[in-house]
Amino acid sequence: MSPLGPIAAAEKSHMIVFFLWMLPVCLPILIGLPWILIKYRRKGGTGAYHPEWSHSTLAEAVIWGGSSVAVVILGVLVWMNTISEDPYKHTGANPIKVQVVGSEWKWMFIYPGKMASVNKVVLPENTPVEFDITATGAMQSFWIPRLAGQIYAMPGMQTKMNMTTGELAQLEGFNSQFNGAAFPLDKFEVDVVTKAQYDAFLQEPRKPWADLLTQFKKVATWDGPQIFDAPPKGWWDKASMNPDLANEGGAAILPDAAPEQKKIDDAIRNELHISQNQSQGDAQ
Amino acid sequence: MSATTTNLGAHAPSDQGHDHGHAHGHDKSGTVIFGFWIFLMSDLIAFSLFIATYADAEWHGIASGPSPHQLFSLGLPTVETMALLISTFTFGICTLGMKYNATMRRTIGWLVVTLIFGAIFLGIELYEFHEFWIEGNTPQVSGFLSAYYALVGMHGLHVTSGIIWGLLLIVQMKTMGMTELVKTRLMRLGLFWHMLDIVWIALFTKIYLMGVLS
Amino acid sequence: MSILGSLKWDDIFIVPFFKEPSLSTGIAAAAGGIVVLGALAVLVLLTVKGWWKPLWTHWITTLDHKKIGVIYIVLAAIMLIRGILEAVVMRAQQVAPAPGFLSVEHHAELFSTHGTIMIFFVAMPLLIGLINVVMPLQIGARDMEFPFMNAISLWLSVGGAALVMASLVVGHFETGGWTAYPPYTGIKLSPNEGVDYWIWSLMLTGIGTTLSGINFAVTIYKQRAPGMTLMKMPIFAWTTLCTAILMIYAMVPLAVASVMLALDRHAGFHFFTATQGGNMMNFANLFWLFGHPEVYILILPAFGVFSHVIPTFSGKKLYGYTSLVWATVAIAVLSFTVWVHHFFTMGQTAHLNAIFGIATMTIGVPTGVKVYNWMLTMWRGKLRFSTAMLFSAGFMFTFVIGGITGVMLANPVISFAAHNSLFLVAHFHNMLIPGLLFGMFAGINYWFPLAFGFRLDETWGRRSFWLWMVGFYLTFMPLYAIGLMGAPRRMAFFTDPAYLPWLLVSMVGALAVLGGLTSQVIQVWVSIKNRESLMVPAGDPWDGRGLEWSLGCPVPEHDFTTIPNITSREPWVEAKERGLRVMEPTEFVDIHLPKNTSMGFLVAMVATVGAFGLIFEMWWLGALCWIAMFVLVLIRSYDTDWEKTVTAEELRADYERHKHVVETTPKVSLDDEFTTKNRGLVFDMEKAV
Repeated sequence: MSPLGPIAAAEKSHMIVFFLWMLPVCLPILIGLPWILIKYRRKGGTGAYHPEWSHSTLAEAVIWGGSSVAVVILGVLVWMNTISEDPYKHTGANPIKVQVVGSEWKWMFIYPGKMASVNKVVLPENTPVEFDITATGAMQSFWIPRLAGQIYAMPGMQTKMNMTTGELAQLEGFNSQFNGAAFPLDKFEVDVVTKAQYDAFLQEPRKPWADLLTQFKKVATWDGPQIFDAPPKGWWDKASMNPDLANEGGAAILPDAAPEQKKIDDAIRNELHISQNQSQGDAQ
Repeated sequence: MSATTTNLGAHAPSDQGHDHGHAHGHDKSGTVIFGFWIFLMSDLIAFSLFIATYADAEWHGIASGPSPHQLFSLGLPTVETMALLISTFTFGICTLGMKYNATMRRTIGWLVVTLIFGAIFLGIELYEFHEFWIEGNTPQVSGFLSAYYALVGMHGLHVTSGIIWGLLLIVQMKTMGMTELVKTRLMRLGLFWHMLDIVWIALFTKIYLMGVLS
Repeated sequence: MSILGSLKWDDIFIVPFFKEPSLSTGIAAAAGGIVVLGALAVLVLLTVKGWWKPLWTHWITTLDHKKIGVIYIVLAAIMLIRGILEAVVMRAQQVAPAPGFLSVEHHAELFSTHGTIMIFFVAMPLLIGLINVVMPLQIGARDMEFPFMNAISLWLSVGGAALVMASLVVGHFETGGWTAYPPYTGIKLSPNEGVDYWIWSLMLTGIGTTLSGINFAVTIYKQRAPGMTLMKMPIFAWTTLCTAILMIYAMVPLAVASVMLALDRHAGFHFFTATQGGNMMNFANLFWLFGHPEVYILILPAFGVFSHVIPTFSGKKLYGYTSLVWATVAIAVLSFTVWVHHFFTMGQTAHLNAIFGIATMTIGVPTGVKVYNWMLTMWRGKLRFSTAMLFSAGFMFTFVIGGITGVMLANPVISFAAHNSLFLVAHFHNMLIPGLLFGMFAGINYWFPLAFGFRLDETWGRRSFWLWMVGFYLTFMPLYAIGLMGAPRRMAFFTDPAYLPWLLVSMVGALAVLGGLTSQVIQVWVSIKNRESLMVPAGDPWDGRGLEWSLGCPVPEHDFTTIPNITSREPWVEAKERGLRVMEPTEFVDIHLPKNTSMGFLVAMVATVGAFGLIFEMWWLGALCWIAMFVLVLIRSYDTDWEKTVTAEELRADYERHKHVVETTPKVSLDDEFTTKNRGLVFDMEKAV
């Protein structure tokens, strides 16, 4: 784990803290068990034999009490962590709002009123961002590991993920919830750029919104990141209520011989830079 | 006992009633009914999960379909409920009578009355489904209607199997006589029937009363 | 609609291979071929050896709890072989140069069947089988309370497993993992029969398991030997009771969720669809309302096994009986309060997540207490490292590591960063391999003589332990690492070269596990071959402590000549201390045992055929089988002649025979426990002197 943003950094530090807090409870077992196995072995062990010994109030108190204390401490930590790293809470004033639609097997990002992009999100450095997330088709999980944890993207639902971008970086985000034939391709570029580059990005020439929608509706992979006009105001909210606006439906799992499956196979080869004539063994 | 309890192999004749596995003994009947109770508890869990699903769908799942307020009225469901309540009362008379060694004719008679009221309940339910159906309010319309049909339908299926079970028991009483086995089966049907009644009270309250009043 | 429903030529296992030859379709065809040839081989073997009749009269129609238990375990063993082979293929797929040799769909079928099989058709039959064999013997019962229902449970589970096997030959299994979340598993995205295979195979085994739960609970409540109060009950019976209660209440949500999914798929309902008011989050809730208690259904019986294996091979009383009982009950109760931790990432409020996170960690307390209790049981003991004991010790050490990662994952914020990753996959394998499989392996090695009369070979048993242990660490520790690096689960191939070394180690580990499994197959084979020298006819081959060891091995069909009076928690230890070597009945009376019947088998097989019909939309077949089941049950309800009598004379003869064996068997010292000198009745000479 090499976190870039403060949220990912907090996740990493919680992991370490929790791991360390578990040691007082678990180390006595991890060390004590091998010790007991050696010391009390029947042949060659040195421990005294007390076959009737089966109760000690002191030991009971230490075991129940000790593990309860550990859980109380960890419980307090859980409460504090969960509240402070609540993905619904803004990580700073005036976060950039990006609306997200996950689909089979591509991601749409909408900068409301400005622009829409597919499979690519550009963000300024060290800036709070709020992703508003929905999906069409299957349930997915929106995840940019080096910036923050994940949250489900679900059709008919809205979820939120707040984070603060760190320094300049080219990152990868993806869907971590299996959703069919092109699941390994269900990912997107995350470019953390300077403020100037970000402003320039929003001015780049783009294609019309209608083009995006026609292609996006198909259950299929997407060729490379592209940018488009922003949808009409309020479109994302409507789409989050009625996923059919951005999805025509279709099977997400196909027979090996289906033409759509061939396209997906080609896309996978393409992704892996394997020429179609080459055998699979030559990959990378 | 102290002399024998020190011996692991000691035999305790007084406790052997159920250990022998006497299927026809009184103990076995009690055990079978106890087992059936536990089964009913798990059935209750199923109902409560369908009710919870319904409560959620009623809240979020209306979509383009009707709301409970638009769909339901209290008239027929009240009659339906009365029919089921009466049937549970008559079943009570039936099993009580059996306990006090009523004649088989009386037992069968009360069972028939029970099943008739059960059938009336079921008939009203089906009539209501039919009415909704021809208005276009099928389960495919919305999450709410799916949950409604599934919940009430599941209860209806239970009542249907109760009625079939009752009819078969009448045949068995005639052919096998009032054996301990048949009596136990009747007792279990009774438990089943009363549980369905209790479940229906919850359904009636949640679906119709609260639905209409909302 | 045709009479064959949605069944097509392409559904037959070899057809896709001929249409589209590739390694992926080739492997699928080979797997289907193995199932078909395996089934044919079994049929031929049965015919050539003339085993049909004994199979039918002694096994298929049996209502004897011990035999039913054995069939459950055999089922689990067959399914375990498939599950592990699938795991090895998946590990190989991920180390092969991307995109590997399997199509994404084929890989998805593999992880879905692997999960479904391991939970429902390996873990569950293992523990239900072991409970069936042992629990009645521990509480002094002659059989389960409802032996006929027991047979129905068994054959429904077999039917469910048969459907999963059939999916290799006819059609496909589902691809959405063992949890099968909609809308992915809805009819739109998953139009083929795979999800229906999942729904109906789990429905069959789920009904079977619920009935098993009822059976176990009633048996424990009503059939305990006189004097055995709840607090004198063996811990395995306690964990069985808690597991049974969980089964009764927790299998229902799964059935409800899958019925709803079936209605969505085939009747156009909107429980989980995204449009028209469905709510897929309800599926997640229902599934895990089953799924979390399920985890404890799996683990509690293993906890019971350790609570017997460890005292026996430590030559010492169990430490903290009361504490263990309360810990078991606490776990069972708490298991219903934590299900949300399986989807912290679903967007509920932080407060709700925090509450469920804390509830989850609370389970750590009774679980930790148990591990300490077993450790204190070993402390001041004299430890003998039998295979069963090795598996128990291996469990304790490994399980604690899983506990650490489990508490980490209970923190919702950490879960955001580890959910759906290989870290999570490593975590639950870290709990279930030691917490379930090691427990069952220990139990099988320990109690095997009760069912068969001979011990399992120790040499191969120990080899299998070390291979399993090493294999586990090699397989899953790397997955923890790459999970933290951000590797998602269920990925057909990885393109990040940094993962490759880890995946290679994991592959080696999977092969070691396969070696462990192979050792176990060899262990059983060698033991059967050498059964004469491994026989322990006098019973009690490990200086055991529970009531079950007071019986000869194998245990006779009627279990107990007379039901003993119980005055303490370890009646057999006390009896032995008084110099008793055999239970002495004061009188012999006729007893009744359930007669064999084919009805349980028939009902379940008809249900299986009906389920197959539903899977391929042959509604007529489903309806026909429903009617057939009804008729069969009706016929059975007229059958009142369901008991046979074992006369007092037969019991006396059996007792005399056993007594003679015991009296002519020389006393065996603990030193010779694992040698051929062990003919039963091992005891601690040093202690006796």
